Amino acid sequence: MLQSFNQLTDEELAKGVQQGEKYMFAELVERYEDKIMRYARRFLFNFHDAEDGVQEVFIKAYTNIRSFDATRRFSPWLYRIAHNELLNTLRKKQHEPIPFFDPDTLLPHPIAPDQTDNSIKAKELKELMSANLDKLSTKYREPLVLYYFEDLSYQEISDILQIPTSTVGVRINRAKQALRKNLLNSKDAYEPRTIAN
Amino acid sequence: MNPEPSPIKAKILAAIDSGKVKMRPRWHFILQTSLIIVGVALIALALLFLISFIIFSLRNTGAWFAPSFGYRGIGVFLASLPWLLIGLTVIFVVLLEILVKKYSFAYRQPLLYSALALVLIVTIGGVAIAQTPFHRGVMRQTFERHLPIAEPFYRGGGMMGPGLIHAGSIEEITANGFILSSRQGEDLNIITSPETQFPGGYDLIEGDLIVVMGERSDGTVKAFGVREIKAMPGEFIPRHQFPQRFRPPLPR
Repeated sequence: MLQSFNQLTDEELAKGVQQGEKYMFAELVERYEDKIMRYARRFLFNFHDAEDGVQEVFIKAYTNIRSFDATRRFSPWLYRIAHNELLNTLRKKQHEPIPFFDPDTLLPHPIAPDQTDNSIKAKELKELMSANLDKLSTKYREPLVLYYFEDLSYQEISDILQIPTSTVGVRINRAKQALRKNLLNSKDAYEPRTIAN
Repeated sequence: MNPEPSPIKAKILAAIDSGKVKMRPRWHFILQTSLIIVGVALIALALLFLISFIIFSLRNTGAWFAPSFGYRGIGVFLASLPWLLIGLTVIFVVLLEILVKKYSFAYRQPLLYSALALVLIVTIGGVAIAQTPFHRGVMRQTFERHLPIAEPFYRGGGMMGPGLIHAGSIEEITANGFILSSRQGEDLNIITSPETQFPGGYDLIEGDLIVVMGERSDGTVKAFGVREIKAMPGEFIPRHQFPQRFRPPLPR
């Protein structure tokens, strides 16, 4: 049975769950538990909250599985549930008011292609980002995590966050700029300046 | 041998097996989607009705033509706009935008684009309905049957203006102007002077449909502007067999 599960796609498994094959959901949890946990930790920065959050994400996914359209990709659908659930957790903890309107979503923005195609550079960038994610607000942290750590496309992130595709690009660029600025500031604080003669 | 499931996975599967967590039935989601679709349809219909009614009212009262009388006319036009209905229209547009933003065709676009597209669609639809005899027919039915909410709605037209606009047809040419048979069914004595503006020209005869701008005192209006207008869709204008021609007032 397990052997045959490996050959099934996420969407086929989800369709099976919709038809009442509950045990197929175990395979979906198996496939996504680590990914959602990683996403939750980068989102919440608290292991216990992340664990509770992930559990709630899968329970919500199971409860609402019949709303999933099996002709579309499963992972953005699951990340959408995770986004909503983790955002709720964060709001409860931080008592953040829900912003009704984000000016970034108002106007069109040109999407700049990502320049980090070199794999070594990308790896270094990821490490650097990972160490400094806590310095970013949720608004900028989330698209960065989904793009660089969860390897999702702009279009998929747009579907998860339900924001324009161009806004995804804007937020990722702003997040990178903020990290760069932060790094430069911390360098200035620790490194003695070279005095030119 | 199966590897030990993670504590999270074990808890989730236990909750499912024990029946604590259940799948929502498919009809729940179908009902949810249907309600959204019905909501979108109702709001869109309300918007089409409101926009077409605003245009109809502006044309029916003559306020639509006020800007052709210069700055004073523009002021009268702005003061005559049904701001309450316009405010209601804006609220409905925002509600519609919130509902359609749940779908990828809307949220993938910048808010400006989706909102503009929405406004454009309902405005075109509203203008198209205003070109039909729909509102005139409803208004006639409303007046004949004295329908409780609709009658004051159509009679007032939502207008809030200072009462400077008078639309109707020329009943009779007089020595210093003409008698206007207003759309409200009143006969008004219109007095023209050399200062009166005629942006559409002086070529007026009995039976012509016109709009007069001026302050009313009892049944008399001192006109600061007069212009001919076209009949509303579905409007019948009785023509005089031998109409008298209007003579412009001579400068003093």
